[in-house]
Amino acid sequence: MNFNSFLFFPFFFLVVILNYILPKRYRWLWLLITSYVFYSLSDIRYSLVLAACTAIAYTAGRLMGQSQDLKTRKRWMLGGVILNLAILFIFKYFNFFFESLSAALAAAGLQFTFRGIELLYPVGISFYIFQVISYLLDVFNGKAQSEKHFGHFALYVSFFPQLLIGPIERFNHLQPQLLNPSPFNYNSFINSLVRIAWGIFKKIVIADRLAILVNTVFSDPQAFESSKMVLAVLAFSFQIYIDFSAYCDIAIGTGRILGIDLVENFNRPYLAKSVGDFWRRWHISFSTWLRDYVFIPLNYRHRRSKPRLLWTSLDVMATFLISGLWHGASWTFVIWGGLHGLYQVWELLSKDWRDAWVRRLNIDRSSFAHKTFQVVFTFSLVSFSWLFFRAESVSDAIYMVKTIFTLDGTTAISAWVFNDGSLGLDAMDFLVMSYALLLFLLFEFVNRRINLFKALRTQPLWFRWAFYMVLIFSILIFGYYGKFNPEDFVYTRF
Amino acid sequence: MHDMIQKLFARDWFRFCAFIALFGMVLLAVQGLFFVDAGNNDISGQTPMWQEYYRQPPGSIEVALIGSSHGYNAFDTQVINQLLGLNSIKMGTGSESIIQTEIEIEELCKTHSPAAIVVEGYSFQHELSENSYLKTINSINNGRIPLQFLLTNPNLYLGNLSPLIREHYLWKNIDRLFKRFQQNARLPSPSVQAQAERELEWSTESDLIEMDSYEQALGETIKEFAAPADFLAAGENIIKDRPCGPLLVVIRAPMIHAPFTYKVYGMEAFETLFEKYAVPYLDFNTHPLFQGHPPIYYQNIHHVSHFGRVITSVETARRLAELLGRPLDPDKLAYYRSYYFDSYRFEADGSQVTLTLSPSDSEASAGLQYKWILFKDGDQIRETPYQAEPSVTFTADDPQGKYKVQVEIKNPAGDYILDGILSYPPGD
Repeated sequence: MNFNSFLFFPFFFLVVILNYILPKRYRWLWLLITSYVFYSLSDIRYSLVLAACTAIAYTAGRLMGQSQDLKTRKRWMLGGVILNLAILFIFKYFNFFFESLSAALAAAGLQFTFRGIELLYPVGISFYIFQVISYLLDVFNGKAQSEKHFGHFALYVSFFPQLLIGPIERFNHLQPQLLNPSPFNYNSFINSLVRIAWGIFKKIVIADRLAILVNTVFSDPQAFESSKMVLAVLAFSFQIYIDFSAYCDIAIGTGRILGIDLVENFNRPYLAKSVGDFWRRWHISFSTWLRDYVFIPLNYRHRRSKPRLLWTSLDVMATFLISGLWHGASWTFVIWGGLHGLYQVWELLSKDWRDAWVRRLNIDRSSFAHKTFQVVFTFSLVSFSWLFFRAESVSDAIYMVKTIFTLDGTTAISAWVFNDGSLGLDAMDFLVMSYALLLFLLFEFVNRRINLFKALRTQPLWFRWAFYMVLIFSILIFGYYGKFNPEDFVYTRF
Repeated sequence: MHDMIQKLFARDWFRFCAFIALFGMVLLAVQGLFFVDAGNNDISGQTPMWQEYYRQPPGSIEVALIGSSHGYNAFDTQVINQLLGLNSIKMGTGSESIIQTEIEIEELCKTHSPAAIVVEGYSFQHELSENSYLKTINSINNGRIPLQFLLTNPNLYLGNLSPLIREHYLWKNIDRLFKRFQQNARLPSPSVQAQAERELEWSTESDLIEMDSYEQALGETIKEFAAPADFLAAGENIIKDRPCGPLLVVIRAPMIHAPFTYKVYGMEAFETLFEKYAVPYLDFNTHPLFQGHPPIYYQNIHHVSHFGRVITSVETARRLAELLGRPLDPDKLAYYRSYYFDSYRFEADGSQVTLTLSPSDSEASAGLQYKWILFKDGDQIRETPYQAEPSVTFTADDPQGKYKVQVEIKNPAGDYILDGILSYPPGD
């Protein structure tokens, strides 16, 4: 089941009603049951994998909690982490690893034939395994107490609003709320419903239309001119953000209705003024995870290594290569991660030099023009990396880059016609997509200074109701409908 | 009062419920803009037929022929109009059930006061198919969906209301939505009119006498189920409480076998109702002209051919004339009776095959002229001019070949052309 399937709505309605009817002390059990039902409705075997990861992490955490000896604690921590990573490896990277090994050996003239095996891919496995790893590391580092109650711990791992694609929650943040959720609050309830509706609007009206355009071009790049490729890359930049943030809107909204505050995962990332800034705004729960559990430990380990800047750069690269690999078992993701690593290494290494030039040219950093340039430049770099992220293969990505930079085919008038159906969207769909996207960007821009959802609550009743009506009817009328499956949210693939 | 409202609106639960109620009302108010998922029935389906209906000036329909595809095939409004001197129209939906017939009669009676309503009998027997039902409500009122459907069939209707619920294929293409707005705004548009004319043409012409499993179907009995209570209630409601049409006639089209795709309800319970309320009832399955179910009268095992349609239309007009106390035009009666045929036969002499039609009344049919068009494997190979002979000889020298003989029959006394296609070997 996913948030954009119809079944979710009656399911969630039932969850909420019983959640508030049941005595508070039993709510965790109800949420645990419903979380497993939610997950099992995609495939019951997924729940077995989830339960196995939970059991491993719980056991390792308990054993760490019972021991005062650092070495023993470390052994249990490593055991839990390695076993969970092994599960992730089996389900996500097994084929990729052996295919890559086979290719490498073949290149070295050695014979090794590997026939890929068909394995189950439990949706959300990357997310909840990172979540349990964070728990194990926090317990080991003394930042969190090991959980004694298996059921409570199982709920932390499986809480359904954030199970499939996050946000990746820390134990200390989520667990106390799960055991002691906020009481029902009408204003919060209404705000959450609006947040959910906004998420559905973003997903069904905008992202799903962008997806048509993106899929059309990326599935057969040879058929398109440079101009259409650029459009598809830009469209994907927006699709992935709108799609993922829509999921998070719905997740956060559903969580709040149940009295649980999930962490915010985005902070207008395309208004970032540098790639480093982008990563402070994009998929925040994941980037902070990487910062806390990969980059900082690595950097700490290299704190005395010289030259300092080189080691820091290597740590950044390692962090972002892991980030790429986490997204998927493919070299396109590794390149994507590598590009982000390189961008940030460049920002790190060139900082003094750039500062000097800014001073020499007397550039006002606070000027609108300078900020706009930074935002556009950062967006261009990020969009370029998205090309690798979305491409079906490395060779496709290279072909697209070549075509884009040689402006291939752009002299033909047809190369500049985007709404003739050649990109999978007819004129009307293209128009709806464009207007909806503009509306979204305007919302993002204004929302920098004014929290529009909060501002809405202060408006008179007639205005609020009119807004709700327009939002709901926009979803009903302009939604791009079809058969959905859990893969339809982009990040459920990772 | 004002204070009370203010107090109520100060309560969260009241505001929430009030919003839901308001949302429901707005939703209902915009019903006219919603498409209903009618399966494969889009604008080229039943809709043009209904649009033709809506073009009829108010009060102009004198006989309404309502029913399913059996009715569409069995009634020819040109024949009925000319024999009775009345304006008749066909209404209905493929696989129509009596539940839909009741809805259509209500719609008819809003603007017309026909002298007679003819309900084709298989409407009583077809089970309610969701798809067919949706075709009806998609077509009625130019696709605007009246409130009563929501109120009387909430599950069915709501299931089609929200695209989120239904994965609504029509909504995927927003362009169609806007076309729909335009159509609703200014009917009839020329394109819709042309479509409607084609649809009417379809309903009065072209028959294929292809008798797949004809012999087998003749030997099988139709499994019938007991009619459910809501069907009986709808039937009784039509008989007793229809808002217009002082005369109600039930005419059951001839059929060899029911299609196997839906359930057929037995007619006995309804026949009891007809008897109880003295509803005139004509069953062509027991009519002397259809005894033994001559193959020439059928285009397939459940629909009549153009040959059969002439007869059912003339005999329907004859029954209506009796019941309405109107004279039948004797010249037109003789004219249409000249189109009665009993059978056809193929005779092979080596590769030479002769097809002969047998008029029911050789004397009445003496003036008919026949044009023969021959096809082999779908390609036309020969066409004759109109001729007086009711037979044609052609060469069928390819044992694997599929031959078809199209015949156009006209009586120079009028403009009616009977169009039929016969296959050789028969049954292919």
